[in-house]
Amino acid sequence: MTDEISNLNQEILAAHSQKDKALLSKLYGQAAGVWDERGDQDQAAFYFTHAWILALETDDPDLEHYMQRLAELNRV
Amino acid sequence: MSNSDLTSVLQPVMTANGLPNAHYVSDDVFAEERDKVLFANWCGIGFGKDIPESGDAMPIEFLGMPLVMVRDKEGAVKVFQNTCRHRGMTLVQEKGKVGGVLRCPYHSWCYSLKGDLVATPHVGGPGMNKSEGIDRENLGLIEIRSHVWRDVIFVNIDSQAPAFEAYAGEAMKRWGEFEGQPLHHSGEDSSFSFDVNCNWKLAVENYCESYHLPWIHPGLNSYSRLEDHYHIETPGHFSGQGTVVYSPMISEDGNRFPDFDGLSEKWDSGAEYIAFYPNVLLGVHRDHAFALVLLPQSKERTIERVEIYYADQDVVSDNWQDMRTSNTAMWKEVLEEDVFVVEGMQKGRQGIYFDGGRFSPVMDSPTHVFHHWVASCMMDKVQAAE
Repeated sequence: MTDEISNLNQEILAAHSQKDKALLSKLYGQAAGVWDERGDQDQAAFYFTHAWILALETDDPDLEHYMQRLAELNRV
Repeated sequence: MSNSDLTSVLQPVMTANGLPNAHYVSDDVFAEERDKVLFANWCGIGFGKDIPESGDAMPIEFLGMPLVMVRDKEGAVKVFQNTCRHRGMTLVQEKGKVGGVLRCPYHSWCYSLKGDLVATPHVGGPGMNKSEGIDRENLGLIEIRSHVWRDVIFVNIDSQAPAFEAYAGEAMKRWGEFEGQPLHHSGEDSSFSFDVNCNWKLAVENYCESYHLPWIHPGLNSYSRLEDHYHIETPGHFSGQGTVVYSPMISEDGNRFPDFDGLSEKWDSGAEYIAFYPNVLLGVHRDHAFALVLLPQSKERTIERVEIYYADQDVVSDNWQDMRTSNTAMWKEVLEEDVFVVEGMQKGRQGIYFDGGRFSPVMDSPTHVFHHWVASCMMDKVQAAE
């Protein structure tokens, strides 16, 4: 696992402890973007899924982007 | 319990007995009443003020039924069975903001505030959010029929009762002058509750009649005597009492709460209190109103939630806080005076030779009307109509 993903996972765990859903959505979205850039669709879809669910809950403006990407990956 | 035990309840008040002890002390009858009296009619479960903003949700367990009240994005109140369609997990655990969706805390299935299932994460494997056999169209939350009237959130759990407008039509007509007028609530200082050791019906029965007022509420004798009260009886719907000598509270500096708009002379000194069957007790006055929702916890324990409302938005401002606090304290004192009575009647019904009691034909008929309604609900409709 690269440092970038490792760091993001640490931040995600911290945000989970804080129950900061808006931040969690953003962090999952960032991690998804990293995997997406690397062409790992399965990992990207996993993280986009979490970003999407938390964006639904928090009315995050990036919701549409997450949904669109999951649709493009045929995951919704 | 057999129907024959209720035939005496259905007699005219002159010869009727009250409901038998079993209706207060039996787990079996409590369960039967749950289905035939409470789930079969429109019950109050909470208040619009509990969920004032879009995205607010409040769970409530009503007679064992997990429910959640939700304010949707258009501002409408919805009530759902608070159970995820996936593994049956309780969906909303505590009162608060849920945001844009109701997300199950177990596997994160998400429902819109209108109850539609909108997301099933990883349902088809990691990162795959759809699956054969998962038809979201048919897996929305189970919505419970609900209606908000006088800020009380009513539900009809078995969905067989008449439409609320028909069910409450007689009460709406009686209080037509108040119908549709906004009710303003100030928050904590207009809100209180009691946890009472009695069957829920005893709270209704005590509320229905004015007979007890001079003994239990002696403070009323000086300005609202027994003879200033009258019965309200609309069989099958509600019963209660009214007074012709209501006098609005006046502060030391001469202020009084603004009145509701356009009231007739009747309400200059009139006030009415009805038990809207089965479990909502309402009061109206020219300048304020209240609603009391009875939440049965068991056959012998009831939570009473009381909320007080005002006619004018300005009254919920800080300017009126002292008067509001005094008004709340006055009602809390009056209603608290009734607690030992309803708890005493509950204990009295452990007496195996108590026969339901003999009503005063003159003073107790609103209570008899309520008992008649309960008995009719418990019996099949043909027998009840005879």
